[in-house]
Amino acid sequence: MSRTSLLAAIFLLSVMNSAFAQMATQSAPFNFAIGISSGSQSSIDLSQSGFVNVYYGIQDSNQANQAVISQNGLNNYSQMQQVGDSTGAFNGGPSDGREGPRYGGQNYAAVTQNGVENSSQILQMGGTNVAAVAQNSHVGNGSTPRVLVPTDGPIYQSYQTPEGYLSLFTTDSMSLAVWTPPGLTATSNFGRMH
Amino acid sequence: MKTRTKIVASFACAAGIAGASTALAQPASFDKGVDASILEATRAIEELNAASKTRVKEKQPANQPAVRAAPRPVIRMTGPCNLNGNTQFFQIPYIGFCGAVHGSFTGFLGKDFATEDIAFTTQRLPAFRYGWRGLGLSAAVPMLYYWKNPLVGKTTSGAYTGTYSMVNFLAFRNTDYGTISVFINAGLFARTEKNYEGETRITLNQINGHYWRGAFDQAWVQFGGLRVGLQPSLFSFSRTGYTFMPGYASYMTTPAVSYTHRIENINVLPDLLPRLGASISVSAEDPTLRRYPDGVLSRYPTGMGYPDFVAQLRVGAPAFVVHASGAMHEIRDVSANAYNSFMPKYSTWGWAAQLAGEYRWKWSGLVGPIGGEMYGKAMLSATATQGALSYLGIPYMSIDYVSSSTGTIQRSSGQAIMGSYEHLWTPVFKTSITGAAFQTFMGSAPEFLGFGNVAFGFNTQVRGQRVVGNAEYWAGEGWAFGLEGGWTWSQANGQYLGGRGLPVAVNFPNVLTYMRKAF
Repeated sequence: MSRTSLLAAIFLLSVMNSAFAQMATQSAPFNFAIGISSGSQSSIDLSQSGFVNVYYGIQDSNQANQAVISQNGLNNYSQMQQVGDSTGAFNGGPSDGREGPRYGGQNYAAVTQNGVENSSQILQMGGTNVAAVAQNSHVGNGSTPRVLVPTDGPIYQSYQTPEGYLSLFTTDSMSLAVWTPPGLTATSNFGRMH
Repeated sequence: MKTRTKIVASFACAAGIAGASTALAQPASFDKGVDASILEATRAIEELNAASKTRVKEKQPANQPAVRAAPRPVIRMTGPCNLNGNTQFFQIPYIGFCGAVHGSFTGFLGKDFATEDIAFTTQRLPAFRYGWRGLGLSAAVPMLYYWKNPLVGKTTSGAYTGTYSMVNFLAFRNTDYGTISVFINAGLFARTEKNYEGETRITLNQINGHYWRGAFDQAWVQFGGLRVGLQPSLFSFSRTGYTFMPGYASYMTTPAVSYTHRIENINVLPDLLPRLGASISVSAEDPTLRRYPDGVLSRYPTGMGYPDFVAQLRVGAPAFVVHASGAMHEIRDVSANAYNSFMPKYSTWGWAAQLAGEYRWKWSGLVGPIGGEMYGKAMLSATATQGALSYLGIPYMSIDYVSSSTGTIQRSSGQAIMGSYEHLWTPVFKTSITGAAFQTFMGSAPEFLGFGNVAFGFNTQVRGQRVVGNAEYWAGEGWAFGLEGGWTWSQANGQYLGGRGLPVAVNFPNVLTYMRKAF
C-alpha cells in the first residue's frame, strides 16, 4: 500500500440515475471528496473525520437535491452547488412581468463542521432553497454559531467573528451561503450609506 | 486702453472657459463650490469690462439681467488697475499684478427623510485555483450582493446643517509675451453628519484624506491658453443643474494641465447666430479622483499611472452654449493578484463622453407681452461611459470594473441624463427644477467555483432618478434665501448564474433651506 493511500482518502461520488442516495464515510488524516450527481433527484450523506477534510459537490438534479455533510478535523472545507436545470419559465406564482429564467426543484443542504478552521460555501438555485450551517471552532470562546438561511425574499446578512466571516444571500431562486476563515475572506461594501 | 481691454478679455476667457456659460452674466443665483468661485470671478471681470459700456450692453440682451449684488469693493485702489472707475481690482505692490478679492458665506439646514437605502457588498468566493504553491483554495470568484440597508435604528440620515463659505482671489498681469492669470478659491466646506451610532459629528471636506486639499476648490495659473493647477475638469459642463442638490452630471475640480484654443467671431449665419465663438481644449487630469473601485473586485494600484486625457469642444453665442467632451481613463487592476500572486495584472482603458447644452431666453421674445420681464434658461446633458463611472456624476453605487480570478477585466457601463430649468419671475425671485436619471451595469465573467460544470457569474443593474425643485429670493445687499425639496429613487437588480434576482427599490424625500451673503 502506498504512502498516499495511507494518508489520504479520496471519494468520488458520481451518479446519474434518479432518486439516488449516496452515503460515504472518510476517516483518513486527509480526506478529499468530490460529489457529482444529476438526474431527477440526488442525495448525499458524507462524514469526514481527519486533520484536513475537503468536500466539493455539485448536484444538478432538477427536482430535489439534498446534501448532509459532517466534517470533524483541524481544517474543514466544504463547497457545494445545488443547481437544477432552468425551467425557462416560472408558473408557480404571480407574474411580475420580469423576464429571465427561473430554476426549479428543491434544494437542501446541511453542513456541520468541527475544527480550528472551518469554511463552507453553499450555492443553491431552485424553487425552494434551504441551507443550514453549524460550525464549532475550538478557537475563541468555543461557542457554536448556528445560522439558518431564509428560504425566500431578497435578503443579505453577514456576520463577522474572529473565526471568520459568514455571508448569506437569497434572492428569488438563488441562495448563497459562504463561510470563510480570515485567510480566505475578501469582502467590501459600497453604495450610498447616508 | 486697448491693452487693458485685452487683458480683461483674456481673463474673462480664462474664467469663462472653466465656467462655460457663466461667462455670460446671470443673476446672483445660489451657487455652491466651484460654480460660485467661477461666478464671482466672472462677475468681477464683467465689471471690469464696464470700461466699455457698449460692450457690456451687447453681452446682456439675450440673457437674464444681472442683479446688482451688494457692493463689494473689498479693497479700493487707484492707479493702473482702476479702469474707468472700476474699483474691484487693486494694484499688488512690486509684482505689477492687478488683483481682486471676493467671497461669500452660505449656510444651509436640511433634513433627509431616508429610512433605508441600497447598499452593495462584494466578495471573492473561495475556489480552487493554481498558485505558486500549486492547486489550493483562494479568494477567487467575483460576487456582488445588493441589499436594502435599513437606516432606522442606526440611522445616519436626519437633519443636518453646514456651510459653503469661500474666498476668491484673482489676479492678472500683462507681459510682453502674453497675459498671466492667477485664480485661487478656498474656503470652509463643512456639514454635520450622523455616524452609524446616531451621533452627530461635524465633517470637513477632504479629498484623498487631506483636509487642506478639501479646503481648496481651485488654484491655478494661466499663461495664454495654458493653465496649470487645480481647475475644473474639461469634461464637465458648467454645473449640475440650477438647483442646490445636483443632478446626475459630473462637475469636479482636479489637478490638471490644460490648453485651450479659442476661435472668436465665427462668421457662420451671422444674422441667425451673431457673435458665434468656439473653443477647443485638451487636458491631462488627475486619474485618482476618477477611480471607482471597491477594493475587492476592482483595485487600482497606488500611484498615478497615466493621467486621464480629456478633450472638449464648445460652441457658443450669448444665448446658448453647446458642449461636447470625451475622456480616456486608464484601468490598472491589481485585485486578482492581491489574492493570488500567481495571477497577472492586467490593464485597459475606460472612456466617457458627454453632450450638453444651455439656452437662455426672454419670455416676451417667445410669447409676446404676456411674458413680461420673465426670463428662462434650460440646460441638458447626456453622458455615457464604459469603465469610468465617475464621469457620470452619480452616487458611489457602481464600480469601474470587475476583474476575474485570473485578472481579466470586465468593464462596467452606464449612462446618465440631466435636465434643468430656471425661471426668473421677477428681478429678485426665481424658481428652478432639475430632473436626472442614470443606469449602470456591472458584471463578471462566468467562472467555475471549483471543478464543476456550472460557471458562476453575476450581472447587476443599478438605476436612479431624482427630481429637485427650488425657489430663491434675493433680499438685496447681497443676501439670498432659498428653499428646496427633492425626491430620490434608486433600484438594483441582478442575475446570478443566468437566474434572475429580486429587485430592490428605495425612495426618499429631502428638504433644504439656505441663505447666502456675498461680499
